Amino acid sequence: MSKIVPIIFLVGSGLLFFFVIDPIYNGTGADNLGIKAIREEKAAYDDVLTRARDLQAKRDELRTRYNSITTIDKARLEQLLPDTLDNVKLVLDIDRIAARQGLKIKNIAVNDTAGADKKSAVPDEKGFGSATITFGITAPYDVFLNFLNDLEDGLRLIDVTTLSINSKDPKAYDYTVSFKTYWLKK
Amino acid sequence: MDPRQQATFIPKRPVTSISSERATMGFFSLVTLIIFICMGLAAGGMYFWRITLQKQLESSSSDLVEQEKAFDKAFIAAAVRLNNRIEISKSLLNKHLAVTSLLDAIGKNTLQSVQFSDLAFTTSQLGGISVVKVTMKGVARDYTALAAQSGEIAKVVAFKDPVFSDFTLTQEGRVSFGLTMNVDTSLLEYRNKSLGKQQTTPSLDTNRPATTTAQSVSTTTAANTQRP
Repeated sequence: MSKIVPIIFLVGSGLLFFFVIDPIYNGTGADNLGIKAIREEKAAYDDVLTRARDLQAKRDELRTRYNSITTIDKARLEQLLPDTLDNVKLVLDIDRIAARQGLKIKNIAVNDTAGADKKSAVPDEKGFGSATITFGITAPYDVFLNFLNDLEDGLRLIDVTTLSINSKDPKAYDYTVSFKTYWLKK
Repeated sequence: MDPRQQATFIPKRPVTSISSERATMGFFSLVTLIIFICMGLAAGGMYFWRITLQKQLESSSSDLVEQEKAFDKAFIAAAVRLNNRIEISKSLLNKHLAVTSLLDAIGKNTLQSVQFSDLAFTTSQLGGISVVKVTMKGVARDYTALAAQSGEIAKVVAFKDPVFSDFTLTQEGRVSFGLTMNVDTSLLEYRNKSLGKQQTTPSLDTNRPATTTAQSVSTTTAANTQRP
């Protein structure tokens, strides 16, 4: 009898280790995580939480900087590089600038993204899209220069790419202007 | 009492071996009992440790969800978009060219006997340097005027490698020609133009007075009487 007792204790200890302690520590599967896996997961969570706190500090800094830019400046930036091509508004704006000089724009051609000519209106990988707009205008040279200056000084970014001058009438020339304009890709 | 049965006090087996065996068994039992108790305690302790860790994990998980909510994704998206807008605008403005500066320069260096009719320009990279290639078409009164114009263009430092080509005698007896040249981008850069004049707040869709352009145009008018 006295010889059996230690054997029972030993076997019991072994059973406790293999069927209780080891499964608790190492786990038995994805549904029953062991201490080891939980600790690893906890360490990962703690790491992420630390980073999240750092990011929150950066976000607060970012918010301060974001708020330091006035609404007017943000609106100007949106005019400089709008969210969409908005070619109708652009043409209207150009017409308004031309009207200021007593001119009228004509033969407007806009190569938009939905059109067949996608080569000239492609949102590229740099994060912005560009479109080419062509129009004609008749004006004396001085007035045309005034108009071009106004166009260049406008907030919407316009890069004149080609300019054709036809001088049938010595007092008023026919100009064909092509320019590139941009928008911020979504 | 049977006399044949002699009483003896000498044990048939040695007494010491039985007691030491019992002592060994007792000690062994004690050790195994201690091991068993330790295993039991460890099992219980680990069970409660796991429960505690699981609670901590759940707490960390909910903390993370709260942190995520506090991030204000809409604001982050707006800030990222604003940053993109600023960076792309900067990049585009650095390459932004003012065609009026080019017209001004050409106008100042065009002879009365020469008339330009077409102008196109493209920007390209040549050995890491931004180059503006200008292609023009024009008509000169005669070859002498064209030669003089060629000399005039060659004098302008900003005009690089001018090439006059496609000489054709027109029905009116004039000489039509093509001109290709590279132009120093610093001449055309919008920032140089904008630095050169006091700007009002320009806007494409406001009725901004054209005071800023009047000065440059009047300069052009005075300096150049040979426009197209």
